[in-house]
Amino acid sequence: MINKQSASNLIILLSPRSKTPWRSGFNRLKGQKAGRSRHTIRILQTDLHCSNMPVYKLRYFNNPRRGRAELARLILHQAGVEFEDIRFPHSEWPAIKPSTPFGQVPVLEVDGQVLAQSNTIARYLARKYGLAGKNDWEQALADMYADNINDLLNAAVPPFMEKDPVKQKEMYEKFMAETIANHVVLIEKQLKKNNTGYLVGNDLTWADLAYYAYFSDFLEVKFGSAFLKDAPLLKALIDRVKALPNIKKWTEFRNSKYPEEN
Amino acid sequence: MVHYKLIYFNLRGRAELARLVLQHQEIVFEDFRFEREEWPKYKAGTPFGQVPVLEVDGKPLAQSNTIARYLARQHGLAGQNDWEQSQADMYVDCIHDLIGGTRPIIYETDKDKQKEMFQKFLQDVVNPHLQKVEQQLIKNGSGFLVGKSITWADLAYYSFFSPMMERLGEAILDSTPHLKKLVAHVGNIPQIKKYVETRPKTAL
Repeated sequence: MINKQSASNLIILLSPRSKTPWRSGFNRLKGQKAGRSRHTIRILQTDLHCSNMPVYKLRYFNNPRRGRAELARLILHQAGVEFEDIRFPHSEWPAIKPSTPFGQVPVLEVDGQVLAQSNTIARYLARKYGLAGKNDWEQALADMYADNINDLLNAAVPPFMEKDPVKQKEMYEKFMAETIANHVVLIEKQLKKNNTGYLVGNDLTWADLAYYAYFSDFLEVKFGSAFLKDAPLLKALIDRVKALPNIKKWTEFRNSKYPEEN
Repeated sequence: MVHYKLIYFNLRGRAELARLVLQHQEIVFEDFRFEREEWPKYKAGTPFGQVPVLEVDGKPLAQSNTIARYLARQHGLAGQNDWEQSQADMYVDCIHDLIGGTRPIIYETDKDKQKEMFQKFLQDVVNPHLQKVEQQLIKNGSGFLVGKSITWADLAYYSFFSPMMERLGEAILDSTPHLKKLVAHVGNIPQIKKYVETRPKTAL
């Protein structure tokens, strides 16, 4: 599939119908005068793993199926970048742990060098593939929204970890009625102020993907859409992300190949 | 000249890293601090009901690490290239996690339980992390966490471990001499030393 990244790998050769078409083509590239014979345009697609494309390996547990690695996956899929989506069973963790920089996953290997911390990984990929914002200020705004989601992910941990089902239900209800409801009001205000349908600037950034991953992939799936009833702009944003061709393709594949356990 | 106004409680807390970045680069800024009782007055004016907030020519930016990263990038403390910038981000995220780990301890009202929680935190979370960071420092070989010169990542480690050393004694970093040396080095940088000596003395 030809996408923005692979376009840079296309070599367009103009070759006369001669015995050595490639040489003539290269001569043309070098700026020599075209021959008199008719030319045909040939498009070569080079191997996507040629020198300018890094080899990415994303390592995470196989459960949770999305967890702290999903934002990086969404960015890579949206950008159409190939990567190895490694998911290992928890039984293998003691062997893998010492090889990580800080004893944690996800980690991203980029041509063998290792980067840790989920948001750092996501930001690195977003910046590399045009999903980070168009200037320093927009990049900072996108960072800010991603940090919000990180806080919300952390805030969901105590109810998630609660073993008593009655207490857990109570904690989740409080979480939705207070933490989530308050944030939804504030984010709706920001979306209204920005007035482009996106969180940052006038185009998709990883901030939108982060909000989709949390509010739709996590909360909407778990609790339904009632909490979005007074947030039409946030609802429109997550629906917009959901419908992006690359996101849609990935989530459909992922949901069948790696269904969530709960 | 861009006008910076950093808005936070009169605490080091989540604003101190941004302050250290600005102080290190000797950037003039408005260090706006308010007391806890005044918080309701300022809360509604923030983007997400939280501080710190950095106003850049009046435009607000929230989230402590985002603010510090923005300032580091604007003023040459973020790393020399994309990879170094990400390495620095990674280390600051680690400190962010450690700060998060201190929260339940700080809020624990039972003093004995608090002491126990803190010991467990040091043993189970902080010390293993220190060993990993020491390995990374040795591997990097420059004395700094990232590349060959100081970045906001070094300031973040200083900001977290220096107060801890003051409270618990310098020996807590004895098993990680490279990190101990780095923290001491940052503390001795003239503009940092002067700032630390003159900043408001606060519990957190």
